[in-house]
Amino acid sequence: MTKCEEIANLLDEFYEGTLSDELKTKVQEHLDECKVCNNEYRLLNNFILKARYLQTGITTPKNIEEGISDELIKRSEQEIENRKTFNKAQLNQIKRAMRQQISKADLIEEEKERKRRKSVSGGIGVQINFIWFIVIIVLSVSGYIYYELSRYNSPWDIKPERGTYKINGLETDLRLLDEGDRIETGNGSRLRVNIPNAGRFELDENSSVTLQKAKDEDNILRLNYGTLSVFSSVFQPGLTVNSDSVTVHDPGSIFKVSLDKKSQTTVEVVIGLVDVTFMSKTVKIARGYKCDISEDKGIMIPYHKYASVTFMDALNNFENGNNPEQNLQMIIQSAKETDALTLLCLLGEVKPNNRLILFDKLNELFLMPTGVTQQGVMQLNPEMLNQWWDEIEWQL
Amino acid sequence: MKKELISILEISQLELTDRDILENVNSNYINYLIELSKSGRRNSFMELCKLNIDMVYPMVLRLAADLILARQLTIDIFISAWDNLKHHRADVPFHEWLKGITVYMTLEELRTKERKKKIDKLLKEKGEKIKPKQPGSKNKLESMIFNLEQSRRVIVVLHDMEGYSCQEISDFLGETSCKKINESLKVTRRELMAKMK
Repeated sequence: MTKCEEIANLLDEFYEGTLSDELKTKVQEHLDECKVCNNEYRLLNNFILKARYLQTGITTPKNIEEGISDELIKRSEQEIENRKTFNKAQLNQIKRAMRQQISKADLIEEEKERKRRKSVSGGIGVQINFIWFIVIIVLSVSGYIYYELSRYNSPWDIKPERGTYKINGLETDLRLLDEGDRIETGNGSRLRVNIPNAGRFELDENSSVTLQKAKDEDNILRLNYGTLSVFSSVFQPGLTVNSDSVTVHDPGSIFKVSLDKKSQTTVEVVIGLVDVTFMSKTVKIARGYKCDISEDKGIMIPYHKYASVTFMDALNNFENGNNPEQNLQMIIQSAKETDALTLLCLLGEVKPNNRLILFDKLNELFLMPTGVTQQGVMQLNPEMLNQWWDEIEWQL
Repeated sequence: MKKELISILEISQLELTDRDILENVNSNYINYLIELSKSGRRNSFMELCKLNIDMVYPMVLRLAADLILARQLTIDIFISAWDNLKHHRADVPFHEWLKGITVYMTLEELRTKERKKKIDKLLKEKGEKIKPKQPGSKNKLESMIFNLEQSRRVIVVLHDMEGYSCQEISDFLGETSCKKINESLKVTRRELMAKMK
């Protein structure tokens, strides 16, 4: 393979910025020397920019809006129809009850009909109200019970990818996971389990989880050890992963939870946003961020998976209490745009005089939006911090 | 070449600035529409549809490369958004949430072909031909993307046009590894670049 061919193979990674420093320098040096490769790189650059900012030549058909509108109207009509049927059924029931009551009264008190008509009709009125009340109560209770029961969704389907696995300590070929079951993978084995209506989870080798609760919008898994990846749907989220005393609540995202032998939990979010709770403290972890949680140190500051080595070293030293002032300076100097959540979380961990330096850096990376004030941020106003994060998140 | 590159860069910067301004202006209005839609007002939801349809339809069409399927899928996506509006969180931008539904539902359809089968059945009952209606575009690159093989088209659209990373695409597709995605991307890019010359 000639040098040009070798470099041409690396151009895409060079553009994406995923090459090691050594290779990056090598490619850059070659591009400075070789006109052909330089031209090839320019073409690639041009192509990617064209694709990214393509002015679409597609015209959206007008009838799509009509289609959505028709579908919504259809649903609305269906709802009204359902309500009508419900009312009709109720009305018939009440009429039947009324007829029964009237005929009973007629048989027993035929002779005294005139005298007692008023009191009888009054009694019927009270009884109808009572029956009406009972019917509503019975319908509501049975509807609620039916709804609650229909939400239970176990057993879940197991799809082994490789190797064997154990359910409740026994090696098995069973492809179903019931509520209360504990599933374990051994060396080199891996499996995936479909969560009905919510997505799926994947269990890496040497890992174990227990299905604590299998209920739509309220599924609970306990990670006993190892690594668990969750791919949950945005349509019907509601999966909670417990590990030791850490709770990860997922509102519809893709994330990974690992629990190592030292009881340290690591949460890594690939897509979306998850809430991590430990000892009544909750932290939101955004896409691309990782967070470590341990019994003795609690929830550590979240960091971006592409954070630089200098930044990470300084952050670790800061959290361990080694030269906090000096390391904070290092954090601020090496922080990039993707480290915004880390800086935002650090605001609550530093002394008030250092908070101002952090605020300046964050404001330099992402200008604070209207409604957020410096004073509010300095006082760690949660609403303002959330508002600023909203502004930052969509730009990342 | 230089001039062309500079003009593209300028356009991209301009577009970004415009988008920024629009999103800042619209965020309160969109939040207002979302709240009204959540309370059951269909007109407000239709307004949200109008604001987002030009983002959703081209994306579905680029991924599916079938006019009839893209039209029906776009309707399904908005109806699904209406049904799941109660799950939308105020801290997630509406267009991002909708984009997530779009990618999920389109890839699910490309995998299961459920909607396609229904359309084909309907067309068969009407006695029409079942050939997929190939889309066309005034844009040369877009037209070339429509003619790509499905798996390669999905990767190039999600990565180069929609800005998803290889890892995210690998997670969407489930089976495909990051390395395979990178390889496919390289080959497709070179092929398209050669055709564009």
